[in-house]
Amino acid sequence: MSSRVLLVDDSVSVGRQLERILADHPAYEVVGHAQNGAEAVKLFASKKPELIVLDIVMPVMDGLQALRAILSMDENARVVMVSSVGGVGEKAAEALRLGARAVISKPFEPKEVISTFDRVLAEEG
Amino acid sequence: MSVKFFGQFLLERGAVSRTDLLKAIDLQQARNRRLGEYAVRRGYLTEAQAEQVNQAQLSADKFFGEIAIEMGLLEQGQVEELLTLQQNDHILIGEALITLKLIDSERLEKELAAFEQDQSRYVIDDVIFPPGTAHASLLAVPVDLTAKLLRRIIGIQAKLGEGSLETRSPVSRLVTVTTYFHGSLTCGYTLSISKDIGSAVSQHIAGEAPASPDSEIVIDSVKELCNIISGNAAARYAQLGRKVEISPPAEGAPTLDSGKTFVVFPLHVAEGAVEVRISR
Repeated sequence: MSSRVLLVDDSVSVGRQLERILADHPAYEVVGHAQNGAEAVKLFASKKPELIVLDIVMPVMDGLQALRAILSMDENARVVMVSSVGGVGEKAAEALRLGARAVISKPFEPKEVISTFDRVLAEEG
Repeated sequence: MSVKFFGQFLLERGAVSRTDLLKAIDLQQARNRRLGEYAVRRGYLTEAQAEQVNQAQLSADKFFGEIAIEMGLLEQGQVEELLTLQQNDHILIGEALITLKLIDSERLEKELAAFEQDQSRYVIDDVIFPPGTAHASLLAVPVDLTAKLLRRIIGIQAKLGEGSLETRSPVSRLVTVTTYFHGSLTCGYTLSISKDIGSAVSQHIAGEAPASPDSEIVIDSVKELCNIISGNAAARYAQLGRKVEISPPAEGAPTLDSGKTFVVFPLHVAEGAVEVRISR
């Protein structure tokens, strides 16, 4: 059975790029694509994905706010943050401290993306 | 791969766990203090004065010590003493991991060599600015990364030309997007590319050929390319000890104030056109 993935990025291009990377891996099924943190929280509640891929910088509600909201709904949610924008180190560390399982950086390397997702889904708890 | 911190590299390669990395970051944060904190601890500045310098630093391309001297709050000798204290205490993430016994030195050396090899693709080459350009070495970062990331992301060779002072805006047949850097460096970064290259960017980023070069997806992809370049530049600035935030990219070029100029860099490509504008 495949793992259900929710993609959250304000860029349509990035969403499609991640969909394309995951399309080659039957272990993953994309169940939704949100373009801001607020949409992500709603889709997380309705779709119950096993993995959430969350951009750090987004309009309306940014990735760190959405991460907090998602983890308050389910403390075991598996969230991987996507980082490309300023203050990378600090924001990535803050996300990990809040409970994100990993951080991937742009531009993506498909192999790294898949190995990170595999590792996060294999973690206990 | 991209410009990144060694800790993130180790995490992505599974060399350390998230929990262990956070322990090492905690140790680093406890040891690596800002210059203002040393100045307060030594009694050279009050907390209010240190904060005053921090605030001034938000809108100046200068280090804490330089600003404190200009404000008449510190002497050159005091700044040098504080910098020595700061350097003596400073600990790198690898050293923190070793100190806490979270990685062995053999594995650390192996990972460090792999990291250096990976990051060598992003070492900043010489960028030629017009004579007298202030902070040219910092402004060079996003300019040079444009050529490197065009090569990395869409596989085109782009040879960076010399920067020239100009007032003209990008021509309308180019797709133009702009982002702004704020903090210890303040400038606008504008990327203009021809629609054929924009279509190639879209193919590589979104993974699909756009229906037409004027499609929304082309603009979205060029914005994302601008986002990646500026984000990687911000990571490089952080490695250089400069805290720089960037704004989300928006379509178009900035309007110049009277008497101001852009520094325009052509990037020579086999087909099409690429230009970068830096505005201060």
